[in-house]
Amino acid sequence: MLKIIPLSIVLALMGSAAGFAADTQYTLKVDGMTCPFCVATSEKALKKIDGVNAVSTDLEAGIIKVCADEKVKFTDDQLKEMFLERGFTYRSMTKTQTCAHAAPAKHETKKAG
Amino acid sequence: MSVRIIILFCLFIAPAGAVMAAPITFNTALPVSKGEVLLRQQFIVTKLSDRLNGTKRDVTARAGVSVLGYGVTPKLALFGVAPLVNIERKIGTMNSNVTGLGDASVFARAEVFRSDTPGKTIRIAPFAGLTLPTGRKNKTGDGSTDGFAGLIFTAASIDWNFDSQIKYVANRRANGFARGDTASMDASLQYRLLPQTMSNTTNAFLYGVMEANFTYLQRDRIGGAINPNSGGVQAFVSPGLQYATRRWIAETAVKIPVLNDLHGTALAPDYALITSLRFNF
Repeated sequence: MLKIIPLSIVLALMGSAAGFAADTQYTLKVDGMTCPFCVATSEKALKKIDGVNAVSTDLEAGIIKVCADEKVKFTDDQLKEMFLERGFTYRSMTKTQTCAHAAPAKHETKKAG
Repeated sequence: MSVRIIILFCLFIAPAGAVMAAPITFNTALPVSKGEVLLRQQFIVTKLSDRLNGTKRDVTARAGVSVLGYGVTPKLALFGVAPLVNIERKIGTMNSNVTGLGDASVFARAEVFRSDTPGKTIRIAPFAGLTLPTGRKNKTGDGSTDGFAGLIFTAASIDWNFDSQIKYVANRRANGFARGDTASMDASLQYRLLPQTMSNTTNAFLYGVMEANFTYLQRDRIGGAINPNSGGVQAFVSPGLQYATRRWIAETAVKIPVLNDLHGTALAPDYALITSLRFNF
């Protein structure tokens, strides 16, 4: 029992650390989106990328937030091409180490009120 | 009003790039992204009637119009439009009813200008195509292969979308008959009615739609002679509703004539009711 408790604590801490390390949030600025369908088209393209766990969109601000694991390495050229093919204009990306999504597996669309 | 004009009235009552809301009364401005397939299925009922020298003339045209679009590149899209039509004519005591494939169209559209800002876009795209004699001559088609070309202007925001087109149709001769060329200008304003303010649960928009269509028709020629009962000027307004979700769009509009300045005894439309569903895959 004395061995099990410390082991559980170590495993829990490892899991937690791994979770923080795995999740990176990309905030993409995309112009030209004007409707729910535009959001769906953009999110669908992003969700196809292996390692993307969650996507949410602020339509009015033209901001897409992507929560992804360490497998994902977005580049400006990749995103520019991807959004061009969908009919929109990719502008810029910022990257933060902490993902804001509470439920990474659930994809939601958020529009500013 | 001839078979081709009735069917064209139904057809061009259908842009590459994803601006979702689009005109109801014309198909050239439908948005489709690269590698994406678009399907629009329209159901159109057009009613034409008058009384000529004491004889009642009554024509009802029903059309199921399938529009298929494909985004070849981010800027180039190809479209095919295939109408299945039923035309019921009652002229005095004479009745006729014909059903079949109408004249299909194919066209390409290339985006030549795009300016995107947050929540807004402006796009300009010329298009050109052919109408093929796939219908039964003088029943559901007129036998000629005709060319058309035009230009689309689109300005869209989260609150509204505006589409307009100018189009010229060059009709060719077939079996001694040459339909007059047509020039048209169409405009469509889609204004978001609901939701008035967006929340994090907003997944669909309801648009109020108002469209205007203006067409100049040259006179037809039969064996080189001008048909005096053809050609003229028509203008319509089309109020409607459009419900746009993340995957599909349902829409309806009524095309109402405000000007029917047709020559001679040409039969003028009373109204057209258009309903349609649209999917992007």
